[in-house]
Amino acid sequence: MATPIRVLILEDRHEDAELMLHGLRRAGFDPVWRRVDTEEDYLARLDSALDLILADYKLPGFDAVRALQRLQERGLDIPFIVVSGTISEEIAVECMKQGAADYLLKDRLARLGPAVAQALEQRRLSTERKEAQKALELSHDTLSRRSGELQDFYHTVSHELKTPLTSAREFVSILLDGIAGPLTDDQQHYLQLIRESCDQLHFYVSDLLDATRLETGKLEVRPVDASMETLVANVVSAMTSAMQAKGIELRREIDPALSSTPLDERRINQVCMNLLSNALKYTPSGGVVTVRVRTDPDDPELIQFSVRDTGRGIAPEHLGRIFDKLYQVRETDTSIEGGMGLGLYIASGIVRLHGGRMWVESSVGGGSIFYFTVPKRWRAPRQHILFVDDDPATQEMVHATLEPVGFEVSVASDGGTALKIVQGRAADLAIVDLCLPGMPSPVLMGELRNTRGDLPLVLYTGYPDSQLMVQAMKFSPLTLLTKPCTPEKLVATVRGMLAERATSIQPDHAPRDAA
Amino acid sequence: MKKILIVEDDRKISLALSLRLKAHGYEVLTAFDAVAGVSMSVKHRPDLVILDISLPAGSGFDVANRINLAMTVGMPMIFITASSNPEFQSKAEQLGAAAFLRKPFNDGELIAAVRQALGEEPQRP
Repeated sequence: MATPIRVLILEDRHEDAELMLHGLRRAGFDPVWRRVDTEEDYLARLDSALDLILADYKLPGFDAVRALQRLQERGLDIPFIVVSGTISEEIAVECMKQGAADYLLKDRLARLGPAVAQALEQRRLSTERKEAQKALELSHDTLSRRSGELQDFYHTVSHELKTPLTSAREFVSILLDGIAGPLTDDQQHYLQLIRESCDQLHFYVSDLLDATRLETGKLEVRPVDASMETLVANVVSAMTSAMQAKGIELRREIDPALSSTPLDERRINQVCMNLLSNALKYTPSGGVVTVRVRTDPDDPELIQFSVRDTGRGIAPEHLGRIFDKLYQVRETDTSIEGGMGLGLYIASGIVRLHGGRMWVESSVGGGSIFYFTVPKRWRAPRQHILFVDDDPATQEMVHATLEPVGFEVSVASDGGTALKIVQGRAADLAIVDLCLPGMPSPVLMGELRNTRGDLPLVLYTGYPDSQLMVQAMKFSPLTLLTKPCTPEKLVATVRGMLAERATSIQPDHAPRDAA
Repeated sequence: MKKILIVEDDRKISLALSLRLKAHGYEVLTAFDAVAGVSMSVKHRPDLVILDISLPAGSGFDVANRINLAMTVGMPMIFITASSNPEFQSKAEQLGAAAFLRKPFNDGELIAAVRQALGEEPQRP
């Protein structure tokens, strides 16, 4: 059965047009055709319903290259095949450059059928690809919008929770301060309890917001030179009465040789308060909590903070996960408050944004020591990009593009290798090819997110496999990088994604020498 | 007696602030939206304006801008917000705010900021 095809023939010789039609019919096409031989007629007949254009190279006052240009100006994507009596290689190259699907010599018209079939197939694929691309971009836009909406939602919730909390706390304070008249001792006591609950609620709302900020890369760290002495003194004075009330001794050991260090004082204070509150929570009466600040024994460029307690310690099975979001050591001992499982997650995130790290040493019954480090000199850490793709040429391109602009790049050909790499060194961003050998890309992305819940992901894809795509798109933050990818686009995508995460990590001072 | 204008749309917070400030011996005026905030500032010439940032009919920043434009002598302003937007603080500073407090605020902090903005001694008389 012949395939119907609408053809425009640009040819001044009627008999040559007939030969072309003959060729088409022999190849199984049923052409509905029109022949034109001037630019004016050609333009008048161009429309998107055409399946094919066959054009002689040279016509009186017109030629195939111009015809191709006109076609592109109209924004039409119609397969265009040049058919010519003689054609030089240069002209052939020029035609192909201008977008011709193929070129043929008139005395070799036997090739016409296969050439047309191929051109039509290519067009079908390109249309399909464009549609898929469009769908992809659309779903990506939707996802970014959703992520923005979620962020706004958290801000609104936080605002809406804090407003009634403010008036509740303020009226209680007014009563407590005797502004509305004298109180009995019991009334005073109960109102104090209400105010403590208000403060606790406020604390939790702030934690929720900080966790969201960390996840969306909006947590700000603004380093300003700070004295370790003052920082620790503030933390200790805030905790002293609670420690005394529980009969715990709070000690501090600060190396007096330490000079001031660039850090976000409010945020590091938050980290210290978190560690001390935990120590208070888990240390029994009569115990000792020690805050220590010194130069890191393994790296003179770092300051090391530690909080040691004489509490119950942490079982080995919990140690690996206590910095995870929402992870809690479930206790049968109900005297220990639950909390939301966000404290250490936020604390370690803040330390990471400072370019330091947090870890713990603990044994059951032997107490715990939480450590964290911050660099003595503020430095934007060299960010580690993980690239997972099994094509060596692409690996090389990505490596050669990102290393010179200041990133550290690790490449892996499959999921297993990728996971081994991040075990050795955490990634700041991972670029994953959609189609991988072995472990499917969505599985790998899930595993990578298990190592770090807010790891920015870039999905690298040329031809979207819909099922894989749907699975992969559930991750956020996620950006699409489409093939073919230029080095400029790659750098812009990586920088954009990382900038979104940490917009304000800017030093507030000039670099200076360490102590 | 020093006059303080509170521009705050949450009636409860506004009342709580009024009670607290009156207890400290100040005369208090209240406005519940941005337009009233501007007109009362111009009409009553308070010694200090306490501004919420998200308000009906404009923002606390709009009010501050209008006051700055209308007044020949600077009028001290304190911003109080429940928003966690990190840019608000620098914006308030650019507008010449005497203080920037986040809700829920601490009473001691608030009174200290008020006294400082009014050029009074830090201690209670």
